[in-house]
Parts: sequence; C-alpha cells; structure tokens
Amino acid sequence: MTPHAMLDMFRRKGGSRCIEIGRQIQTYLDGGLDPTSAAKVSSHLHACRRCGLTAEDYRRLKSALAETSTPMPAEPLQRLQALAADLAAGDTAT
Amino acid sequence: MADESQTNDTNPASPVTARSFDAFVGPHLPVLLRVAGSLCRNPHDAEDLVQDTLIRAFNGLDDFDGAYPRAWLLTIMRNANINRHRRQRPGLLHDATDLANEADRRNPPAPSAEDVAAAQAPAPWIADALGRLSPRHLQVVQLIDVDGLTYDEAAAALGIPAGTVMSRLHRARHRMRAHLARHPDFRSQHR
Repeated sequence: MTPHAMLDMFRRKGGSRCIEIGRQIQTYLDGGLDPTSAAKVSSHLHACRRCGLTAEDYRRLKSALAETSTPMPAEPLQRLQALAADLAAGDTAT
Repeated sequence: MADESQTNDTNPASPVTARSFDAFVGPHLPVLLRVAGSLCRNPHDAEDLVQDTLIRAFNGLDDFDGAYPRAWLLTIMRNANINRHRRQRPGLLHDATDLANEADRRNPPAPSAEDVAAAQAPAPWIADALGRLSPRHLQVVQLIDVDGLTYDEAAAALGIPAGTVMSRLHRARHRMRAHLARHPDFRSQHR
C-alpha cells in the first residue's frame, strides 16, 4: 500500500481526530493540558491503538531521559550551602 | 531561625529575609547546580555560576516578591551567566591570575571515585539519540526531561518564551522518537 493510500485509509478511520490528539500528546504527558482537554486525550489514547502506542513511545522516551539524570556530587552542594549560610549570617562581603 | 525557614519554605509568597536566605535557597541548590552544569558544561564553571547566582540573589532579596522562587533564581543565573561570558572572553584576560583561572577551567580536575560511582552511563540507544540533536534542542531536553524543570523554569533559565521552549522540546522528542523507531532496544520495551 502506498503512503498516499495509507493516509486516505487513516483519514476514513477518523484520522483527523488522531492528528488533533497527536498534536497534544506531548503536552498531555507533561501535564500541561487543562482537565477537560486531558480527559479527551486520555479517552482517545485508550480507544485508539495507534495513538496509544505513540503515547507509549513518548512515555518510554521521557522515562529513559529521566534515568540519565545523575545525583549531584555532595561536595559542591555543601560548599554552596555554606556560602548561603555565610550570606545569611552576614559573614560574606557582597 | 527554624521558624523563619519553615515559614518561607511552606509559603512561597512570603517575603524572604536575609537571615533565612540559606533555608530558602537550600532546596533549590541541586537544581541550580544541575542547570548550571547544562549551561557551562564544566563542573568548576557551574559551581562558580551558582556562587554568583547566590550572591546576586542575596543582594536582590528586596526586589523579590516571593513568588516562583526557582524561576526567579534561574533568571538570575541566566543573567549571571551572560555577564560571565562577557568577562571570560579571551581578549579581556588581563593578568596571571586570570590566565591561571582560565587554565583551571579548561583542565578541571578528574572526578572523584564517588562522582564516578554516582554517575550512571545512559543506555547506548538513548545516548545515540541525544547525540543527534542540535545544541538548542539538546539543551531543552536536558533542562526539562533530565533536570526536571517546568516549561516556565526552562524559559527563565534560557531567556526565551515558554512557547519556544515547548516547541523546541516537542520537536526534539519527535526527532528522537523517529530515530529510535528503528532501534530494537527501544522497540522491545513495549512492543
């Protein structure tokens, strides 16, 4: 099947709705939609396998990216906290 | 002192006093240092930048209304970073101390064993996808998906509109997803 034919079939199956939801999936996953819009997206993601898998891709990507975050080394944080304490105590010329 | 810090930590709209500055800023230090690392790409410069930020924030407490403290601190950090870049242009180095400091910045000491142990190498497939992003796209992905900032906080750190942050982020993720679509390690997670 050609890409053009696939797009036609996609549109016949309610694809315009999928396109609209597709534009909101990332904002939805980031918690940036209002409750009404979020409920609509959530409902569609449960009903539409294609969009549901797209959302699952982005969830997996976000999760993998979050896992690349490493703990901050303790020493710089301790030095910075000490600086903040010195400032609060008036021990540092500013 | 304890009462002051409790008040400021639980009510972000209350004014911050100089004496409670350390309690106010303490919870934000890990994020500030992480974001500074994204802006500087050098642990020493990142720590220096957070130091500058703390001093500027302390001096600017009178102008702070207490709302959105992290975005306020990130805005200060962005301005401090701009000033540091201006100061650190090679043509502006004047004496031996400047040159020595510049050499230190270019050759930071090796990370400690604790740092190495704490650092987890990302999965090769995610590292590969990140490596294909443009610097601007990589920066927003780092700030939001890795460092955990909101759109507004990333906008404050970068000095660009939140809408621009969002469009860059979405485009970056779209490109990563398109690249990873062919990657078996990514596909095998949920197909």
